[in-house]
Amino acid sequence: MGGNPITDIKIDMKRLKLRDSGKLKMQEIYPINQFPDEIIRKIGKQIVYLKCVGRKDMYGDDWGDIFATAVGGIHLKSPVGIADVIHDKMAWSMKTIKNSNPHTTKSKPRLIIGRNSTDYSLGIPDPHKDIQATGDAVLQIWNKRVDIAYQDFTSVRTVILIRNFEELTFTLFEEDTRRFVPSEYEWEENEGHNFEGYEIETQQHRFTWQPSGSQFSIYTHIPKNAFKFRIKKPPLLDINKTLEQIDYSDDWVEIIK
Amino acid sequence: MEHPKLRDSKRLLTREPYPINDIPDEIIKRIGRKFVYMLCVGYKDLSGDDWGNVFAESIGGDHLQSPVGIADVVFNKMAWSMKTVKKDNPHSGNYSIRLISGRCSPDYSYGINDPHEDIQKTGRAVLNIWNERVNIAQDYYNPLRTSILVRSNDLLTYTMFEEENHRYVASNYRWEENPNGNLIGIDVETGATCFTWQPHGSQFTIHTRVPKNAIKFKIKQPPKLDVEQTLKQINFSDDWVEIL
Repeated sequence: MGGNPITDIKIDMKRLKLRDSGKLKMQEIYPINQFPDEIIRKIGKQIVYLKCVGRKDMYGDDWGDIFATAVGGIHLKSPVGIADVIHDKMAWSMKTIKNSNPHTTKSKPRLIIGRNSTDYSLGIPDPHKDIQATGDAVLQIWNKRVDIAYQDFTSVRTVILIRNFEELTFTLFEEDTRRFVPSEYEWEENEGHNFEGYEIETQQHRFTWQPSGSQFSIYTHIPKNAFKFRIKKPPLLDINKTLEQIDYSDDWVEIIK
Repeated sequence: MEHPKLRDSKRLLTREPYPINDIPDEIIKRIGRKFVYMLCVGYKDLSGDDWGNVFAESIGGDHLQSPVGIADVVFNKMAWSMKTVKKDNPHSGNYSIRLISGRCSPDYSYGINDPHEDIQKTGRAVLNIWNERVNIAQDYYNPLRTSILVRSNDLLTYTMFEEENHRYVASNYRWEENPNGNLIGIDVETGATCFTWQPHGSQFTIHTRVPKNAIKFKIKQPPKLDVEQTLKQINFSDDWVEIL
């Protein structure tokens, strides 16, 4: 996660040749953050469909379904660690967030990761007692989830879709999902009593953890080579006509007395 | 039942669309019809938000974008808190369900850092937080009901009922910690388990029983709409997706 000047440059790379290439078992569908246009078109098309049938908002699960269909993968019903969508030895953790202007925003996307309970996982009943120990524990829990995913999959990526409120404008990018070294971060309690994790070297705010709810968030940045796309707003499918098309009649709903 | 006649009836500003848990067949038919449509267009599950949308449309109310306290759907002065739970067979008699009722954080709300230190105090704090949410909702709306939809895994079988939403007297419950480290709220008088609260996640759950007079209904599995055909119908073309 985070900025990487090397991977931020779009390169059209063929599969590279190595002496021990034969040992590689996994086949990437596409190099990291180099989505073929075809996949983006498939994603856009499915979002058009969702909008046309009246879906008011897109959930994380919808995003998982859409992406899995677009890459020909499987959207797991219950994730393995942080792996939501899989394809052979590849796995993706699916994230989607809203922003009023996904194409121009300068804000750092905040990825809500899940509940990292230091009480449940590491027996820390009072998280405020030693903030640094709590922060370390939060990162250890994250690392464990990453470990679980990497036990089954060779490549684990986080794929992030930023959508505007109308869900017509999107920014899409991928990151390599990785573990964090707890000693590289220092933790502070903010005025809202949430814990904030800062990278010691850069003093950048990288994580937030809420003692109320145990919610763990990672801050990332939108790379320059993120993919930007738009879809046309489709007309809303007429519910009456659609039901007529499938010969719906009132007795399809049976009230049991 | 008609509205009862009282000497001070004129003072009542609220007109209920129907008495509590006496949901007219017409509304159930509308709900069911909408569920058929949703299955037909490819919904795989129903979220609490979906349930709020369907119910609001069926009664002619509004589904609030952000709830007021626990009020999700409103109709004039009335409000409903919307809940849906999954069960293998929603029609299987008089069973108990657990309603996930939001995050009640004694740490955030009361500064109780260690919830295990005095579990009675933590439990009371949890109930006070719940009561405050009911207060907020009732500041704006009354009556306030909880609408519960029990759905089967295939989304074809449903049980639906309503409850009056109310505050809990904190001293009527004692709290115990179970082997998983969760707190369990027990009714002092009956010994019944009424609540669960998880220190990790602060999730508060209310246990309730499905009443005998809950409404049971089924819908027919519709054919699934063909995505390609539907997009053709609306004249979708590839240039509707513009990569910049």
